[in-house]
Amino acid sequence: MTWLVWRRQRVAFLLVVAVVLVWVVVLTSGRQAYLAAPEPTDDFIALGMTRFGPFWGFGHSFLLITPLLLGLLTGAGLFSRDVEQQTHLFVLTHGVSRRRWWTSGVLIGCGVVLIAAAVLSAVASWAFAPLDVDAGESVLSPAKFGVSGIVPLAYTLFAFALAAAAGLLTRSALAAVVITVVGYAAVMIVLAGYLRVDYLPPMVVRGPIGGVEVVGGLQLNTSYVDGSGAEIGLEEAFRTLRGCYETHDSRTCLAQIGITEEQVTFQPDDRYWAFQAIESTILLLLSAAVLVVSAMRLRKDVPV
Amino acid sequence: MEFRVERRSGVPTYLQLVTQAKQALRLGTLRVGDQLPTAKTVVERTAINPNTVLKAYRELERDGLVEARAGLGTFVVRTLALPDSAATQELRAELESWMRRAASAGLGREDVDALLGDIADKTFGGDRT
Amino acid sequence: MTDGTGVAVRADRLGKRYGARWALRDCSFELPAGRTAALVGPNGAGKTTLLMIAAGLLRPTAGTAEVTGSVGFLAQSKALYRTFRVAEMLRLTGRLEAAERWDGAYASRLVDEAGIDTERRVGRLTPGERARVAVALALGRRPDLLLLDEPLAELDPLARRQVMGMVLAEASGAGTTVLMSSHVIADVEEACDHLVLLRGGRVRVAGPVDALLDQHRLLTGPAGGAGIPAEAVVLASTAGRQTTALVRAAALPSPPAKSTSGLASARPGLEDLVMAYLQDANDGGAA
Repeated sequence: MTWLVWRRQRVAFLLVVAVVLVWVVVLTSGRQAYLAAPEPTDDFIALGMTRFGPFWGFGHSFLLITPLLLGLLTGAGLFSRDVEQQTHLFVLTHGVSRRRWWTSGVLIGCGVVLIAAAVLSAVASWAFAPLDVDAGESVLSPAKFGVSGIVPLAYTLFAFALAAAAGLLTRSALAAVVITVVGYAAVMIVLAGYLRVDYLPPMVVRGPIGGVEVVGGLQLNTSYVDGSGAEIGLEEAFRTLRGCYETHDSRTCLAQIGITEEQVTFQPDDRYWAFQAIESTILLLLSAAVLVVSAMRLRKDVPV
Repeated sequence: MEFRVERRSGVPTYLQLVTQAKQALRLGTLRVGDQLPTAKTVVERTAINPNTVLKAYRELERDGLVEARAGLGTFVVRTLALPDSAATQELRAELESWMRRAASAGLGREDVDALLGDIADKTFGGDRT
Repeated sequence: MTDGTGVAVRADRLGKRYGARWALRDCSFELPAGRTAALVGPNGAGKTTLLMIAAGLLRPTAGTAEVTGSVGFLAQSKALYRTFRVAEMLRLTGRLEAAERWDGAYASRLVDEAGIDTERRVGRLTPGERARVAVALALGRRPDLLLLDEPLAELDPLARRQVMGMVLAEASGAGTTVLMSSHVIADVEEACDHLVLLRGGRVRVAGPVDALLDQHRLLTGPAGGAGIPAEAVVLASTAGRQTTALVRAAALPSPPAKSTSGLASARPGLEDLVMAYLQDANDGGAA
């Protein structure tokens, strides 16, 4: 069965290797070009546009969807082509159980995408390392977090699992692609956009107005605190004190309504690995869930 | 020899095989000692049920024309070829000269066939097998 | 290997439902070992479902299907990897099958005898060649029961004869029971000695062809069917001044009543029998 999966999916696997190779070349040359470029100027916009703007920006954007590409390549056709062309009937009537047919495809596919994703993640971390120092972004920022560590592996695994399961359930590679793209985008938006910042309760620092400084970390929110300890949003304070601001300085105005301190909430950078572990676990559970759903299809009496 | 099966003829398939074998025995294409094609070969070529072939061979065996030898195959033991006697040769010569006359009288092949068939029917009865 | 006296397939009140629709219902029949059986019926009668259940590819919703010995299955699509070379298909099957159950040399020889170059890709073979490769691969596991789903569909007449000839010759040599579906009676008429007729998901007729034909008569008489006992009729049709009826011999009066003596009576052909049972209005039990 192993031989069959390799033989059947060899074009897909070669494409996976090609994708990884392209990234290695792009990332390596991007790193070289960055290191060879003249010292950064103080002009932030010029710096962003010329020095590492395209490489950093596009590089991260495309790296964030590369797991999707790898998952589609290996997963979408894995079962759907067999079922579409009925070749699974050949396999299943030549001494191979449904379970073996399914398991060997899933295991080999998982192995391939995990290796590819691991190489990509390592190369990307290495290539962006000098840029990250200059750009000064937190390792928890959506772009950096999603392309480094073990999270890319988990995203790739999820994309593969979703594509393989959808292919088996819909018996159509095209439907599998559509479902995977939509599902992957939805999961990524929910995790990176909403859930990630709250994986652990954020840290809170309070201090005199204008006197709180947080170094590193992902800053989430800044607000004022009045004497009773209640939190007042910046915008709310601004609306209340609009008249006051026209004639007085802000500190005086704020004092008028009892605000004496400000507070900053943030996720510190040293939570990087904890967050990586939490997000990877979520994705692993999702992957397992879709695979279990597809495995249940095997037990049902449909001529898979 | 090679058997042919005419599927739409209405004649039972095994009978077609028997008839063809007898025809071959009459014409001398099958002679004493010759082996009939194995059932497997006939089945492969004609795609008919093996039992049909076996039934035809049993029929030929009952007529004493062939004999099944275990593990070897089915062999011709008696021929239906006309004895090559003086009488046969004389009849043949007469028929040849008659045929020439028929041709010169303007009879075609089908006319001759019809005429011969009619006479044969009257002489031997209607049974043509 | 079967001894030719046992039962190769035994279906007992077999049923299979897809959603709300019963593809098979209350199917009961026995196929004795060593037979070459035709599974006939119109499209949608449940032939593929029945074969897939017998092959272990589907689980029945109701009833049971027992199969004796090992099973070879040929899907209607032939189910070969079209991008593979024939040699790769042979090698693949050898890898999939347990070593003790796979006779690779035999499968290779069958492909060879069909005159097919094993370096060619499956997708480039003619439909007839593809069918013969698929049959060779199904036979390579030396099955006791060979299930063929519409093996001749989409083949030209020469290929039909070659494929059927190959199946029959190899199966008879090994004593293999064959069950093949077809919706073209002419394809299986000469090849099969056993009939299973499906209609609307139910078995309408099943049994040895010779016995079935002996159990029926084809009666011809004046229009109106006068004198033909209604309870014996499977199907009667009138054309011009003449009525033809396929009847069950057992239901005819014996000795022949005066009323039926004026009718011409003949043994029906397989096609007469099949056509009658495919068209009759009766949806009840089998003959």
